[in-house]
Amino acid sequence: MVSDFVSVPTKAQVVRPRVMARVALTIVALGFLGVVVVVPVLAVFAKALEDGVFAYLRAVIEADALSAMRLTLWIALLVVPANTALGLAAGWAIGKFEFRGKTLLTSLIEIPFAVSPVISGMLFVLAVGPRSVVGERLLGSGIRIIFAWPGMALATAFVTFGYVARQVITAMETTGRDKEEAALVLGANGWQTFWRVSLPSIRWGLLYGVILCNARAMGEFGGVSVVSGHVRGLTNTLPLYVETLYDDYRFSASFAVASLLVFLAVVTLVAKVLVERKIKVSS
Amino acid sequence: MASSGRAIPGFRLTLGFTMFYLSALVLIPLALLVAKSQSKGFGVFWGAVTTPRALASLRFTLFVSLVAASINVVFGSVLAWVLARVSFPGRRFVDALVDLPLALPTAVAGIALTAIYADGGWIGSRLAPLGIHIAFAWPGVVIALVFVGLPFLVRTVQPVIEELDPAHEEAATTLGASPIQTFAFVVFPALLPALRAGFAAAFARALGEYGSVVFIAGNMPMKTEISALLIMTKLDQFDYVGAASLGVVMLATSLLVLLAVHASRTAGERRRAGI
Amino acid sequence: MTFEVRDLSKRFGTYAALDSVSLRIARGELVALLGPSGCGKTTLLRILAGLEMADAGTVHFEGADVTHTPAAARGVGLVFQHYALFEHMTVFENVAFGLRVRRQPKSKIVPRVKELLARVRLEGYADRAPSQLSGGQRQRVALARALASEPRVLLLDEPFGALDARVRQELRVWLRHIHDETHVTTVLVTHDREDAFDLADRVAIMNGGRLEQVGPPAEVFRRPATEWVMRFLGDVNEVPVHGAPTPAFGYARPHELDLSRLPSEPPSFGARVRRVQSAGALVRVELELDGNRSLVAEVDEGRFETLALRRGDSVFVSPRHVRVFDAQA
Repeated sequence: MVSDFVSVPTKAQVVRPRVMARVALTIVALGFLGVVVVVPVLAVFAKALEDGVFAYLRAVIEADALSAMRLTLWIALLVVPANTALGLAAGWAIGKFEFRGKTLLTSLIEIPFAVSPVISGMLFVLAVGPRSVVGERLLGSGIRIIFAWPGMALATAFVTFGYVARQVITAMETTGRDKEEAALVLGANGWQTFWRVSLPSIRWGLLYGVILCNARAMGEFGGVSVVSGHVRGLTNTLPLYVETLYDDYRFSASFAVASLLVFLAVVTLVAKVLVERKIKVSS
Repeated sequence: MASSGRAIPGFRLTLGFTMFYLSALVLIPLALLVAKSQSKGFGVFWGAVTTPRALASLRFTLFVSLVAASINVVFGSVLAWVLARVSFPGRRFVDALVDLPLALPTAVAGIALTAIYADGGWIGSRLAPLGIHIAFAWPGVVIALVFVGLPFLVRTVQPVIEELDPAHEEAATTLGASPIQTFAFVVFPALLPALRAGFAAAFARALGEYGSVVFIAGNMPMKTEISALLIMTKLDQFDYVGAASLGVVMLATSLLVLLAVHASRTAGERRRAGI
Repeated sequence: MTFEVRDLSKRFGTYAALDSVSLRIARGELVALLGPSGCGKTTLLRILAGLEMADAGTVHFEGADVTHTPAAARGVGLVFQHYALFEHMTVFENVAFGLRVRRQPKSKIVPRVKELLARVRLEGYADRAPSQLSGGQRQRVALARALASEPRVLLLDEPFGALDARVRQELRVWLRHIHDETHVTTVLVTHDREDAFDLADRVAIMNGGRLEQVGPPAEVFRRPATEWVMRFLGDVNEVPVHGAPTPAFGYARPHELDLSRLPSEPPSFGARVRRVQSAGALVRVELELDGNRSLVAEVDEGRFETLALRRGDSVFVSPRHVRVFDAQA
């Protein structure tokens, strides 16, 4: 009687088209990812080795390349700890307390994520550049911020502002207040509570944020480009140096240095996956 | 249980430091930007923003960002679906690859994509005889923006798919729905908020993107010049007010997009809660 | 020496969690704060611990005013509802925490922790991680941790809330033992009547931020101060009262209603049996009165067999103990 009105599919009728659909979708998805992401990465290496392995190695250990590496590391060394300190402070305030304006503060921390890197650089050119009040006074004392590494550090700090904060805020909120209150009643003061109880409980989220912050800081391009002035050997980070080589038509050298950044990206991804697994395990 | 949580120490210290750092690094510079854009009066601001070149750059930027975000919505959702639902060898590796555009400096992506899609490159050389030129034209820019926006969409949609209850789809199937009908009537509506949010994130990202685009775009004023580059050019010419004005407009657009998504999400939640 | 709160009040926004509460606890006593959720008992406990500040009123420990003393300096031990164990530390490190942050030397810490672990019967577990323990075991670690620095007062927030019934009972017995051994003043917050009655020397019943009644369990049960308290502590029957000036109703517990086939003088009254539920040592008899009113009586098995009641039978009810409460102001 029922079959007069409704044709209920048999299992085979349901399964076969579904299997075909899954295979088709998988091929489309992998093809998309391959073309968009994988091919460019392969291209970097192919182009880097175009002139042979020796040319590759030479490009990578050139003086200008080494100073670009040093500057990249130096800026990361300044920016990542600074933004980590902010992340911990913001995480503590937002994650462990209730107060009016909490949501507003969290939203304000998200602002740099929405700002274009070029604008980020421009902010500091306007604020402390040679044509600003502050900048002029500092130049008078011989301190140069824009077109020198301090300005680049500022721009990088802006761009990577919330990377650690995001993770730490979430982690602090998730772990709640109980453990900190327990530590207090047991006689711990604020610092003891933070070091012995809170920090260990968020360590993986913190590490995750630091990894992301570092990757972004080392790879930052648009913002530092605006601020740096592109002085070879002085104000080039690795990404800027890639551009400099490219503009000089030294293509294989450009790709060679770029391949270093690809290695860095791969290391970042591996670290990220490992920490993600730790986070999942501990929750 | 209500609790004000002030027994825990360090509130004033951490909040104070956060506010100080936030103001010094973010809020004050942004305020200075807005002030600079208005420093010669609203008329000059408006004039700078409405020059033919500026308008052309804004149009172009909006256009390529929309196209790229749309491509990401379509193909990115398929990718998110496959990663969430289909198990195949190497899936974890593929899943990690999705985040590569986040970890890779944009300049590297820029030169790599240019190399591939230029008329002499791997893909470009196959398309050039057909009269299709990708690099130094808007399609190249779109591809670069698809690259940078990919993780934003996939990572927004993937967790939502993972949390979908398969019981709903099974119910639809036993009631006679074909896979397409199940998708259209059961799955897609559930994903819509995440798709919207992912689209907005990818779109906002694309609007401000510089490094990956500037190599492949050709940067011809009035034709393939993105607003970010125009800002850069104005700064080089010391037209600070012009650059600031354009920057303010770009910022406003990004923030509006994100606000709109946030508003539509909370409105949707309210509707569903019956308020 | 006592621990007391005087006229304690606390609001959260417009919500009054405590309204002028005063309570005195003698040293060595075990007091249960009993009440429905939202009655303010946890707020009171947290104020005792120093985790909340009262809006008005004072807290005195052994004569000293500790109202503004921070939690770390009060000498209080607190066991949280969900234990709040430090997951990244071993059991040993958890219990030792209070001693370590007070910079006690290792020579003192190690034997003390061992002693406590023995007391809570977790001797072999010192190197385990909290995630490897059962709920009841974590509870015991939390208690050992709270006791480690010899607190003046031990506070427990719904300590058995997250455990299943049998573990609950074992832990109740065991907590009473610990209290008897250590003589530490203890305040226990619970919404479970059995927890309170089983463990406490005195029960403080709270409702809507106020103390309704304080007293030993038996007294509170037999002589409730108000109708609310009586209803909160158990089943209640409204029975007609004769000869009283105004209130026509009094309250009696199911087991305080004697049933008989024979009529007797008032206050005895007639009723019909509607349902009999025989489950266990007591038999519940649902009775119907005129005007659609119903009562529930509890009689023991033996008495029930003598009566041989069935559905529809007529019986006579003699309340042995009726309480009449004045109308609340």
